[in-house]
Amino acid sequence: MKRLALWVSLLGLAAVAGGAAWVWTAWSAASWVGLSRVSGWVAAGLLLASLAASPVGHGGDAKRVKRWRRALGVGAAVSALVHLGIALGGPVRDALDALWTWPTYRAGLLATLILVLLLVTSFAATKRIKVWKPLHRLTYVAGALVALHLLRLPFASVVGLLFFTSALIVLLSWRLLLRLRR
Amino acid sequence: MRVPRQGWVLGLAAPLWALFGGPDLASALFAYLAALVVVGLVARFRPRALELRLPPLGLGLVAVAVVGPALGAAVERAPTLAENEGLLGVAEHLGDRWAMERTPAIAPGVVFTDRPQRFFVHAPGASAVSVEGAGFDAPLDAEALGHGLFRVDHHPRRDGALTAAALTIRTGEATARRPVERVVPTAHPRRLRTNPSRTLAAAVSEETDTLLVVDAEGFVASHDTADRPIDLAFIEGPGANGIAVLSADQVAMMSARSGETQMAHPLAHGTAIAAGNDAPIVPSGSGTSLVMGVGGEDPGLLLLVESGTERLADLPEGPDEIVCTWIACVASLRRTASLVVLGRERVEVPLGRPAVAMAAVDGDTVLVAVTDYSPGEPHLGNHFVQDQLLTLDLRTATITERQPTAWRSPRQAAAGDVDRGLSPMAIDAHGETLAVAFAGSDEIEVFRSGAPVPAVVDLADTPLLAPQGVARLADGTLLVSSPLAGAIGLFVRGELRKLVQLEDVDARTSAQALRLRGEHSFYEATRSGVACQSCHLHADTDHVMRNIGGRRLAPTLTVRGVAGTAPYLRDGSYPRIADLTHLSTTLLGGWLRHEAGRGEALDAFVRALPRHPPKDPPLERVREGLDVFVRAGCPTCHAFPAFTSLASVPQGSLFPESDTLASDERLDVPSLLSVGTRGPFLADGRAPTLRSVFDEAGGRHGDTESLAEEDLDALVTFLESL
Ligand code: HEC
Ligand code: HEC
Repeated sequence: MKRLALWVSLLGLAAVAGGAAWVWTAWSAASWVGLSRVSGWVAAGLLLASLAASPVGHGGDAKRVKRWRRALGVGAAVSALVHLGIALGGPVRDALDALWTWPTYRAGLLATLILVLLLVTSFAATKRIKVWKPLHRLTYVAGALVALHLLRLPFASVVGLLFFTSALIVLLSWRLLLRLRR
Repeated sequence: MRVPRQGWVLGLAAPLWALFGGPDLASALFAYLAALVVVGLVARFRPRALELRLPPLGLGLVAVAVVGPALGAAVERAPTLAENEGLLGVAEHLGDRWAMERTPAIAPGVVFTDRPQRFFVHAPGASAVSVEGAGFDAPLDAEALGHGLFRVDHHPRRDGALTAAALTIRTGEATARRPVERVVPTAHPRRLRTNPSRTLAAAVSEETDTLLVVDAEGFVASHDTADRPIDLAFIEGPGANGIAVLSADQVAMMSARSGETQMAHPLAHGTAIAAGNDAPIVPSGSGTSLVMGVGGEDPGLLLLVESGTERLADLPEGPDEIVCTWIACVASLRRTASLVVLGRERVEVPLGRPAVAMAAVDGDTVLVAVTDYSPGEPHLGNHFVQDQLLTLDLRTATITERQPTAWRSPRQAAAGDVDRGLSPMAIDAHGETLAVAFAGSDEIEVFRSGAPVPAVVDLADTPLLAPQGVARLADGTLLVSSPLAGAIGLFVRGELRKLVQLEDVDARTSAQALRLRGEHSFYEATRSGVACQSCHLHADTDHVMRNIGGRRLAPTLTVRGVAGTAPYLRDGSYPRIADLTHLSTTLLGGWLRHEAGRGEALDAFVRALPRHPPKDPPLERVREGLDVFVRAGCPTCHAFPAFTSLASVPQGSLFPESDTLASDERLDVPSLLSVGTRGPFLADGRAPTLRSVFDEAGGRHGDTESLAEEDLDALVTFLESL
């Protein structure tokens, strides 16, 4: 379980390191933008994947599903943090106030906060505080915040927004359906 | 029944948010997290406290009691919350963005049936593109510019006018149908001119290419003119006799009654025309005395002579209007907000605001209508408007008198309001009588020397709303032209006697009627005496720095060609054009009349305003410039084909070195279509020229620091062709 999480995070970090090297050699405002888009979509994709783990693996080996879900969730949180770091260095550098005063950036920040809280409370040491389960439900809220984040983002496409939002809605309804059947 | 854990959390979070939170999602989230922590702590240290059991009914009642007020708060906060989270106008915004991102995409998405237009098509990967439309004689072949960008020039006179609200873009084998807004303009007679003996008057309609001639009996004739007539002048003399009509690419002499074209000279970029009989700048014995203003690369005043034209004076821009007397010719300049008096010598008279209309009273005085004037320092930097008539003494080239026109009539209730004499759009001086057309208050005021108050001709109950032309004939008949009515009205002793219509009003479509209602709202003043027109002169810009809504100084933007670029304003704070009614109803005191659906009508009117035509540099230069544009990373924000991603970026991230604006100030990415005809540039107008936009330090606004000087030249040439 831990190993998988480690792998996913490592992959994310490697991608970022590669990107950083590329930025270093051909630095421009546009490269920062490119890098933040890539890292953002990695985080968004991992978030969707972690939400998909339960419904997709439904009826299968519960332990394995859990493991995947956790690994993907950890990956999402780590890459969201990396994405935040890149944004701070590029698109919102010199405009840090906007991170909180602009709804689009604030939504992204709050989504990251949720993912980080989940990350922190998912380790054995912190699991004793029994908030993991209600906190976990917030992943859907994080998803909604990501959609809000994409809505007015300068460099996101409408297609991306539509894809993400509809995937989120499908996953949420799938989950609710499974829950109702039970 | 036991209360579930989630119930405790929500039951605590809801009142927490209602009591301490604000209208935003962040505080709701924090309330939830706080409740989570509290419930978590209770569960850890006092687990028994959570084992409360209630009968279902009791549980329901408690839930309602706790969550009800929170729901109330949510409903109350919803509108502010939607605004705070950027959710207002989301549908319009996404609609506009989708239209731009769905390739092949075409911009602008408005097609006019009366004038030449340039479109851009984004079709990545296509090698050839053509555009088909119902009513076109043949498909329009697009010019490939590179990088998936194509350019289509369309002139309905040449290619046939569009008859459906869609275009089909053909890329190789594939076709894609794209909805567009089709605009069939109605006839718009504006300035009225009379012949020297004041027996005839005429007006042109740029939209329908017509010249309408009337006399004291009414209709005399209507003639087809060359493409887009802009201005006209009667000329009577031994050399020429008739009406000189200045149009988009020629000046022609037409006979008033038969409409026969006596002669025509090609002339590009004409802006105004006047008869300069005996004016000192017109050399004696030059045959005609037609003085014409031209814009374009070489703006100035020209004289029409036998062999073509002769240059009389250079000007910084094409004049809006020219008036000539035997002492001097006066040209009104919009961008520089001044008059140039060309008599025995040349004197520039700064006004602070551009002149709206002019008329010669006699040889040595000219009356000038402006939206404000204060001697010495102009009033700048607020939304202050005080319509007035200035008296310009041509002998000394000075303003000798200023007469505010706005006044209060018994119609008004509240103190400080004005409802008469708003937005003067046309002046006619004849003998002892002065007639002024007020588009803001739908009236003509007739001043007679000696009479203390003007006689008011109220147009509100006639079709002749928002008048833009006025003239008195020798027998006292008062003529009024109204673009909204598409007509000229004849008044005798203040009574409407006849309406000479340029087109069949009953044949107007509902879209046309809606746009005309919007046009009326655009010109109609509010109780503070300010109309959209007061700043957006002739539905464009007065180039004045304004502060609308207590934010910051900004040059008035043009409202032409803004369709499909939601949200609006520099900071994108108005999600829809219709939201601009907010400005009039709050800040400016509300419109004079009550009318439902103004927003929708204004939106329809503004969307259907044609953009300014761009320049036409050689295609090779345009392609070179596009290469630079792409190389410098401009399309990340100025995305094809509208040259905007329709998104906003924070000021600090774009221009870190500028300290006039807050770093998190929202900057809407402007469309670069017709950018070469605008200016000054950037949110606070700090870049006077296109080239100077790229002097901004920081390297974030595109990668321009690595560009060579000739690359920048090519880039600017490219921008001017958009
Ligand atoms: C007091 C002067 C003033 C008045 C009155 C006024 N405007 Fe404006 N308008 C401005 C200024 C200044 C701007 C540019 C604001 C900025 O930089 O954000 C502007 C911008 C706009 C824009 C945005 C154009 C774009 O490219 O985003 C539109 C549309 C517009 N005005 C329409 C209207 C309408 C419709 C009315 C009447 C209801 C109106 N305006 C009345 C001064 C005025
Ligand atoms: C990061 C996004 C971004 C990039 C990249 C970018 N622009 Fe802009 N551009 C903007 C924004 C936002 C504004 C409006 C600035 C303001 O209002 O002060 C603007 C304004 C302009 C203007 C002035 C328009 C006006 O009406 O004031 C021009 C011209 C322009 N950009 C051209 C370019 C060119 C050429 C490039 C490439 C070298 C480029 N831009 C790259 C976002 C961008």
